Amino acid sequence: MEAEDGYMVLMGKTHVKSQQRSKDFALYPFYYCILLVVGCIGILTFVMTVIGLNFSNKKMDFSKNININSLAGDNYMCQNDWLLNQRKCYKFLTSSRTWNESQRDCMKLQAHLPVIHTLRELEFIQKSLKPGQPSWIGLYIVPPGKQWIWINEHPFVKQKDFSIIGPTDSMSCAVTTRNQVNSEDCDSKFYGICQRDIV
Amino acid sequence: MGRKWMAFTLIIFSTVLVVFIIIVCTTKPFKNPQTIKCSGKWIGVGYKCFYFSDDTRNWTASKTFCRSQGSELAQIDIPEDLEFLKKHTGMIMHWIGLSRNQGESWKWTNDTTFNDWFEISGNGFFAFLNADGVSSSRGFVDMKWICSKPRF
Repeated sequence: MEAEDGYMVLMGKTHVKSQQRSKDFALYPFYYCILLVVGCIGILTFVMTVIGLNFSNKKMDFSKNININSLAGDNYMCQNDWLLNQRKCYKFLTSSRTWNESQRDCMKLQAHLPVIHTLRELEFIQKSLKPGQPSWIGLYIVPPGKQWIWINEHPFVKQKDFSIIGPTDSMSCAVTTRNQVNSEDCDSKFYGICQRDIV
Repeated sequence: MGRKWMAFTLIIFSTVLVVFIIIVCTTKPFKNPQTIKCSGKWIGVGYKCFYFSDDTRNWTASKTFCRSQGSELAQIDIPEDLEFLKKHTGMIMHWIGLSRNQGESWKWTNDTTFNDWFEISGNGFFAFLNADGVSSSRGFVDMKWICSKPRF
C-alpha cells in the first residue's frame, strides 16, 4: 500500500507539477502579447522612418531641381519655351510673316518685337538665330521721314557695331540675321522675335 | 544515271541563276540613269540637280556662286520642284533665281520672263523661299541659297 501510497503521492506530485506547468503555460500568452506589441511598435517605427526618409529625400530632390533651374539661367522666370536674357524673355516664332503680322503675333503673347538697348542684347538675339533665319526686330521708318524709330517711339541711335544696312525709304522695317541688321520691305515675309520683361 | 542527271540539272539551274543575277545587277543602273548624273552634294529631282548651300550670302553673291559652279540660282519650272524645294528648305530661307527691276516683271537669271505660276509676296526685288512659300526681299540680307542645273 505504501508503495501504492507512495505511488499515489508520486502521482499526486506529478499531478501538482503538471498543474504548475500548465500555470506556466498560461503565462506564455502574456509574454507573447508583450513580444507582439513590442514587435508591432518596432515595425511601425521602422515603417515610419522609411516613409519619413522617403519624404525628406523627395524634398531634397525638389530643392535640387530648383537649384538646377536657377543655375540654368533663371529660366523659370520665363514661360516654358521662352529664352531668358538679361531680365527679358524671348520667343523665336516659327512661321514667316510680314512685319505687322509678326508684331500682332507677339502682342497675342503679351510681347512685342524686340527693342534693343545694348550691344549685348543684339548679340544674344543674333547668336540665337540659325543661319538663314532672318527675323524682324522692333525698328521701322515712319512714312514721311528717313528716321529709324523703335516701337516704343524712341529714335534709333546709330552705334559703331549697330548700324542698319540698306536704304532708308519710308515703309522700311529692320531684319536681323546672325551677323547684320538690314533694312527690308515691311511686307516681305520673315520670322518674328517676341520680347517681354520677366514676370 | 539518276545521279548524273541530278548533277546536270543542278549545274544548269545554278548557271541560270548566276546569269539572272548578273543581268539584274547590270541593268538596274540603266533603268534610272538620272541617279548617277547628280554628283557630290547635288540632289537629283526629276530632270534637275539642286544644290543647297551651307553658307549664307546676299542675293548677288549667291548668284555669282551658282555661276561659278556651272549652274544658275534655282529655276523652278514645275509644281513638283517647288514642293520639293519647300519641303527641303523647311524653316531656313533660301535665295532662288528670280529678280525684277522697279516696275518690271519677275525674270529668271537666264533672262527668261517668269510666267507668274506661283505667288511671290512682298514688294522686294529678289525672291527667296522656305516651307511657307516664296517671298521677296531687297537682296541685302544674308541667307542660304539653292542652285539648279539640268540633269543631262
